[in-house]
Amino acid sequence: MRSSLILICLPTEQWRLHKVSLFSEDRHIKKIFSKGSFLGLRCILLAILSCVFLLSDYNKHLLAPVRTILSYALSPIQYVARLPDDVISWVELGVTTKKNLINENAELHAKQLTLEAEVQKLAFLEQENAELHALLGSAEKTKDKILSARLLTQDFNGLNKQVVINRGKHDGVFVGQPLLDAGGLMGQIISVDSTASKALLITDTQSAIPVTNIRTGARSIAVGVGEPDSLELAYTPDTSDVKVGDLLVTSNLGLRLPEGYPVGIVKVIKHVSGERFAKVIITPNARVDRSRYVLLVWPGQPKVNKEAKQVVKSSPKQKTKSKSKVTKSSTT
Amino acid sequence: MNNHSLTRPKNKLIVVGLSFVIAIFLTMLPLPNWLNLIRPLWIYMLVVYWFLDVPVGMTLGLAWGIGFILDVLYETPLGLYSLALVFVAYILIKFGGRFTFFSQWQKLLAVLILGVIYQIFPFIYANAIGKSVGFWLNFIPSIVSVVLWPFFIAGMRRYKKIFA
Repeated sequence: MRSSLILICLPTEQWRLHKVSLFSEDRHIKKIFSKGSFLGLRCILLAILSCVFLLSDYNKHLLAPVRTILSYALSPIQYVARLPDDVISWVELGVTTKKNLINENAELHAKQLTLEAEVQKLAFLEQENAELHALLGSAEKTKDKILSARLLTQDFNGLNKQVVINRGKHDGVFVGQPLLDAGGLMGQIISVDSTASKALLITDTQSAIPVTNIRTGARSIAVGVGEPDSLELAYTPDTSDVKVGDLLVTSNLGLRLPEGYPVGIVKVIKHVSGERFAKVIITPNARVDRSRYVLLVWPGQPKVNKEAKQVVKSSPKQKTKSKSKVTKSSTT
Repeated sequence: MNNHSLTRPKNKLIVVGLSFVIAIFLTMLPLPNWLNLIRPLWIYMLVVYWFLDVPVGMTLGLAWGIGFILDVLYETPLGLYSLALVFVAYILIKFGGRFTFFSQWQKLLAVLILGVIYQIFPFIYANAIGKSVGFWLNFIPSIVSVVLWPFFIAGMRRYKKIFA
């Protein structure tokens, strides 16, 4: 076998002399001409079978069990394929020096302090928000529940921007659940197994998220374009008030995502003459292709408090009156 | 080459099966993005190798099954890679015998053309759902497979020797 390798590196005349085949040489003449019976027919039948599967897989629920069983069978190989990555991170952890660790520790302490200070303010704001909600007569919401998770696999063919995380049905994960990292929204859960679940990242071309512009309150949809560091704001009118640097947060309009988690910052606005819509490109806040540790969010349920109930029961005339009063007082 | 290690059916099953397990492992190994783009088509290369090396027992149905596993791995609709591999296997079974009479460059060209045929179905699908990475970028794995083909053959001979 070594000879064949050396021969590859030699000039072509030598190749012809030796006539070393790149395929195996000892092929019986018999085998060359035995093609099996009805080969073309079998090929067409299998092609038709594939097409039937393709069409039936269009409806995802039909073949889901087949897929699950096969992916269970393949999971040991998947586990082994993940090992090198884990080993590298483990070795990295072992090799870090004491000084580095001390530095990192100090940094994290400082970060925690600033975060705690922000949370103090948040408590006050939440209280104020709840009071305002009560005044308006709309239901106050409970706090979002959060659970940390770890990425198991990333996409490996570059086509689907999907990740698998180590939380599943046992942890109460559900389809449509938002997935965050430290920066902001990262994706949505699309399928749930007992101990693992799969999430579609916001950068996938099949992902679209309802967002709100924090500065103007304008609603729009952030669509993935298949690149890890950009999203696009769909159907933004050419004259709309968008500026570079605007922060976009999730909105509750799709009835799927909790309100107010950061999605991205407007990076580029391109006005194309003759087009009705401007091209707005967003940089996602989440480190979509790099985060290893992620957060799962259970959106808070609206609390039904007594005051809200009373307002609902009272006549609509009164309600509108009280509302207008509130808006007036807030404007003055 | 003597491959009497592959004459016994049980042995053949182990040798071929294990090679596919390794190929699946290499296909699923997480890699950085730029390396991911030039990842060779390990499964395709193995199919071509085994169909030409031990044609007995390598049927269209087997290629179809391997394609089915690939669909599960790649998250593509079931049947996409099966379709691609069935066509590749058909060409290999029907015309594979003639490959023996090809010159070196013709053989490499055949591997390239079959690789493009194999990749065309997922390419059409990716374009249909708007996830295409671009024409040339899409077919780079085929070219990488051709470049690696001589080394792959050498590696496979050594691999078979382990079981001899």
